[in-house]
Amino acid sequence: MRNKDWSLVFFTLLSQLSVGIVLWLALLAVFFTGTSLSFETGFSPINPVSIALGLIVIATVSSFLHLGNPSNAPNALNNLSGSWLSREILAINVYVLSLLATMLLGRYSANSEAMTYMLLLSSLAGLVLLWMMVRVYAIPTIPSWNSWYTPLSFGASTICLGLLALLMFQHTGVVHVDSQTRIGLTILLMLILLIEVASALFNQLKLEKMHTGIDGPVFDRGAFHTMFLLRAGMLITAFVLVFVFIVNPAALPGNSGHTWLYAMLALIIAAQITGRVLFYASYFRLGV
Amino acid sequence: MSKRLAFYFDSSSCSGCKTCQMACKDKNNLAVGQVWRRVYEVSGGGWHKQGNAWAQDVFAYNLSMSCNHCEDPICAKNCPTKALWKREDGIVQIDQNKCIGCQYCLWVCPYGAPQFNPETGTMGKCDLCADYIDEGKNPSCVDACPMRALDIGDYDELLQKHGSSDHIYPLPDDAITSPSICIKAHPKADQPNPSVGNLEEVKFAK
Ligand code: SF4
Ligand code: SF4
Ligand code: SF4
Repeated sequence: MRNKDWSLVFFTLLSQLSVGIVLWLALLAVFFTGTSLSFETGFSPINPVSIALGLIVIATVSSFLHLGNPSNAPNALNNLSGSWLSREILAINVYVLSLLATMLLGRYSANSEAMTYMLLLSSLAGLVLLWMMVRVYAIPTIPSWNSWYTPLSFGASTICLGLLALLMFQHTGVVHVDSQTRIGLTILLMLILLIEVASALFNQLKLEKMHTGIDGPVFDRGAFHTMFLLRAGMLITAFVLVFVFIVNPAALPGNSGHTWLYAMLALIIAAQITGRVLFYASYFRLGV
Repeated sequence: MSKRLAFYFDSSSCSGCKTCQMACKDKNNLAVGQVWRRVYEVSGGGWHKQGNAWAQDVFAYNLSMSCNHCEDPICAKNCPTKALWKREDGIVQIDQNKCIGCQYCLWVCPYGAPQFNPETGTMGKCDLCADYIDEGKNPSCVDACPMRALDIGDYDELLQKHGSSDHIYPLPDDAITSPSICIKAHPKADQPNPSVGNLEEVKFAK
């Protein structure tokens, strides 16, 4: 992975976290009546919508660090008819505008029905952005990215990071979900962790067989392989922690819920970052 | 004017001297690390016991490669700024005033042609010496080759003149981008298990 790709690691993860937050807020507002979104009215910096907006702005700034010549950036929309990168940039703008509108609505109106519609609209814009992001990597000459694993891992990161943020919002009292919904969401988180471990394993087996025209296999050894194992360990440990958390939190040593909650959070975030680093490091192109 | 300018490369007569590589660097004033034309040294084979004797089937050939000004340029299709564009005569060029240096073209091109220039923050690649072409001259690399292994011309005419084009190892499937290059294969280019011996010279472009 090239140094510059770090900006893409943060761009993709932060924008997926942002979309994940909005997606879960919309789902809660529509399907879970036992939920109260206390941020619906008034403006606050810890309003999840403003956090989602802040995240996508930071993500966009981070993506600029990847450009060699950012002063030409307005040209990036020149090829909407052919380039997924152009379309992705347009989708970011639409998503930002929709979040801005949602935030302003929350600031000036107490109409919760309108808020739900705006959240749905923003999550739709977020999903379009996610799809564009996936398409950017669907490159026929790069078989390691042009695979089922890219949409699956980007989708899993979005759901997982959004869920983590939601659990934190619940923990800090910004969003209130009833206990049954909370347990349901936590079980979903475990499921996502399992899917991430299994899909990463299948992808790794596929990567290990790949070699370029001029290079031998490179993914079955060295730092790449060690990082893959490390990430699998992180995901499995996080899964076990979440499981114990639901079934018998008293069994955790020290019995300090907060410490274990933060440890679990840190593990999952580290696993997401490692996963994305591995994704960019898995770049290899057909040909010379 | 030709509708599809293309390179011709004769792998059977290339000695691997890399004069073309140097002529290109010289003409385009390329910094260290920028190699728009690269020569791949391919080799293979070894010693095998045959009864009480040892026989060898060692082979080696070279492949000089730059941008192939593809008929279906995956680089231009994916460039968000349309900085990569195709002239009427088929030359694929980069407009430095549009390029944002996202390096997407470097990711996608299966010939390793676009290379990032840290000084300008934009991409550079072979432009088939378009300025020379416009003056009716040959590209620098073509005229520099002491073995006359390189040439340019209209793609269809080159194919007619030289028969088929063989996209020998280590080139990718030509169906991906329809490269405008006609290659005369080295007679040993069909031997099993070839490998590139000078990876350290050519791989950095990835
Ligand atoms: S060789 Fe690469 S850079 Fe040149 S036209 Fe073809 S795809 Fe584009
Ligand atoms: S680096 Fe420049 S030429 Fe290459 S895809 Fe990006 S904008 Fe286009
Ligand atoms: S045609 Fe010109 S730019 Fe292209 S490889 Fe030859 S010397 Fe370099």
